Amino acid sequence: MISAIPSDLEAGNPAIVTRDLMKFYKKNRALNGLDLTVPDGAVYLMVGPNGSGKTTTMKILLDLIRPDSGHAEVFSISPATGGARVRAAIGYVPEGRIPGYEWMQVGLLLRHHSSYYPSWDSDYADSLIKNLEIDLTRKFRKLSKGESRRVQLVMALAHFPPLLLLDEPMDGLDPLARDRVIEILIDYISETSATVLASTHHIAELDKLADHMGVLFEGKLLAQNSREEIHTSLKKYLLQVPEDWDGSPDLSNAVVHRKGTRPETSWEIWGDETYVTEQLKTAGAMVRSVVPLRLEEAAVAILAGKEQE
Amino acid sequence: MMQTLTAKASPSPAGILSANIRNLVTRYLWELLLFGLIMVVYHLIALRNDGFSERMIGLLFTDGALGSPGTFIFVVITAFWSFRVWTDLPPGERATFLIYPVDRLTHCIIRIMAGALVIIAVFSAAWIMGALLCEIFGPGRSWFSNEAYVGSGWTKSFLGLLNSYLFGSILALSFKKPEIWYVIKLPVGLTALGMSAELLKLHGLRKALTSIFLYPDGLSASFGNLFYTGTGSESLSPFHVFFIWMLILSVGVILSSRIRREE
Amino acid sequence: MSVLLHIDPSDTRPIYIQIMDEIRRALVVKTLGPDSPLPSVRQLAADLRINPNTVQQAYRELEREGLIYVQRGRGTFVSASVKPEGEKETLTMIVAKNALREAHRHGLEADELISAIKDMNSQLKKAPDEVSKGASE
Repeated sequence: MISAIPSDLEAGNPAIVTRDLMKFYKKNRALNGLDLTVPDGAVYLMVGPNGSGKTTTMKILLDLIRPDSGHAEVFSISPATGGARVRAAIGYVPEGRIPGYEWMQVGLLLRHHSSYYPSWDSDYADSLIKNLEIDLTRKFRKLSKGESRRVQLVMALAHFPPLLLLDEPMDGLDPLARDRVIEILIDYISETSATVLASTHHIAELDKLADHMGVLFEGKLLAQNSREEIHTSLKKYLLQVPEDWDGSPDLSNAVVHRKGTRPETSWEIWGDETYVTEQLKTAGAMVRSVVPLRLEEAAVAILAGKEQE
Repeated sequence: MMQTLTAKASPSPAGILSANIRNLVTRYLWELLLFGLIMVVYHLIALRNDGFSERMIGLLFTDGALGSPGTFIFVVITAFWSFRVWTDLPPGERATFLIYPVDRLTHCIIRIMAGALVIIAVFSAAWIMGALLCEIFGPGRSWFSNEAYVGSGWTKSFLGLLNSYLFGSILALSFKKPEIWYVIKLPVGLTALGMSAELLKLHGLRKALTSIFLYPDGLSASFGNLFYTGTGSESLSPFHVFFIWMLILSVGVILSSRIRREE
Repeated sequence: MSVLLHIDPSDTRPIYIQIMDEIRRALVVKTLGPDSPLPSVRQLAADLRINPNTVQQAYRELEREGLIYVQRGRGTFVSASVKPEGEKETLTMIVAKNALREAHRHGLEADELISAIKDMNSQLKKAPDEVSKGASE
């Protein structure tokens, strides 16, 4: 069932906008008409299976790759034409390690990096280094995945960019490091009111930080909503139904996902609670409970529902 | 709160240049020292083999001297160095380079300039060192007063080397597939080996190693010659030829660095 | 202070509402009183590991309700005129609502729940330790 979940966010002067972004590789469509809107000051989680286009989107915003069609804007500047200015405003933590740094000592790497950013704050960098327990004398290639991510986080934050692009920020970090990183991000957001676009598989980790979520699937957004909207409109209805129930209330395709078999079944439905409850009752189901969904549950419901199609 | 991007966000080119220079020197320090050493040693051996004659000095440093192995090795080294400047990464893998908030063309030019300054510094040091050693161990001639050593010949060699560096840079910027890079490095490596053979007077071995891609009748007809004496136009002085080549190659570099993205 | 605020991501209430309810709760049990200082937005967000905007939202709502006030440069404080009894009422209704919801999910009617509460209450009076033991779901 295709849900009627809206994908348009109304936001004056959003930090990021993409319209109908397309990117094809030889065998697949990485992006197939992406309409992304990240409001200014939002913490936006991009979730979706591997290959759904999350990394590709970030690379286009940084002008590391060019889209095949459509356009994108970061703070009203197109990365294709104003790449340098856009990149100056972005702190990027990539998913893997960027090649080319391997031979450098961490200290040299940070010094090299800082010469490209006039707004680099050494005091802040030092405090992050201490907080994340980074050893400046080690060579980058000798670092574990988690350690290299921490260094890349310092590289991204220390110049105080107004936009953070985080590709799987929690990946490779042990629980303590994850907690520290979240603490650092919260502090950063409080200080700068920065916008954050994070792609993640660990939705639960970032749940409390996020105020927007976009669900990506095969290069397109299935849904894009504020946390408020999801909380208000996407709910799990625990239903008790008679044995012979045919299960088709008139809900205008707003059913996102169904689980379970009779007599107790749970449906995740997008819509006004009162209206939906009425429809279900009319169709003969007894609504046992209505529960709002956590972000992770919402994402799972939306993706699972897509598979059910 | 809408963020406005100000011009203050752009880093200074001078700062980036010095950062890149520092990087290249830090990473390739031993190689650069080796280059310098090779230059000094080759010079001394060539000179000593010919009894420190004026003629050999002339051959080493004036134009048309590509028959001398001592000078040709510089061509090879600078071409090789032009790849090292890009940390041996083909354009598609230069994400470290591409993520910076600098206009790509400017960044390319700065990086190439950094490489040029470094190799020129190494060459200059090697030359001075070579001259000093000649002063000390040579037959008593004052090398620094030798016009060929410090005069126009020296400058011509420099220009020729810069041209070979620019040529190498164009190749480094233009080829995406890493396999191409190995194809390019191969003749460079072979030439270096050929030079060593020449110095050890193993002419047969030198011919065998280098004649695959050079004209069989000798090094003087190699493509490096182009950058020194031109294509046979008699009305232009070698200086003019050098500068014309430098102009052409600089334009080539700018064109090659125009669109370099990750894919 | 913030160690007394408990945010449950599994809770059906949005986080900012939970913060507001927790502050109300603190007022009712008297760990906060009139003119008590509250942690800064940044501090509370860091302690609870949540988005500072969410804390901001909670504080704004509480300020609108007159429960707290902000003094420039000095911080956020509980209103001098706050009446714990009034908050108790609000809180009680919230607890009641949650209980009824839970009951309905288990197929219980309101009066069934009410009589069960009365029974359980008299049982627990005989064993006071049981009250604070045991968790919610």
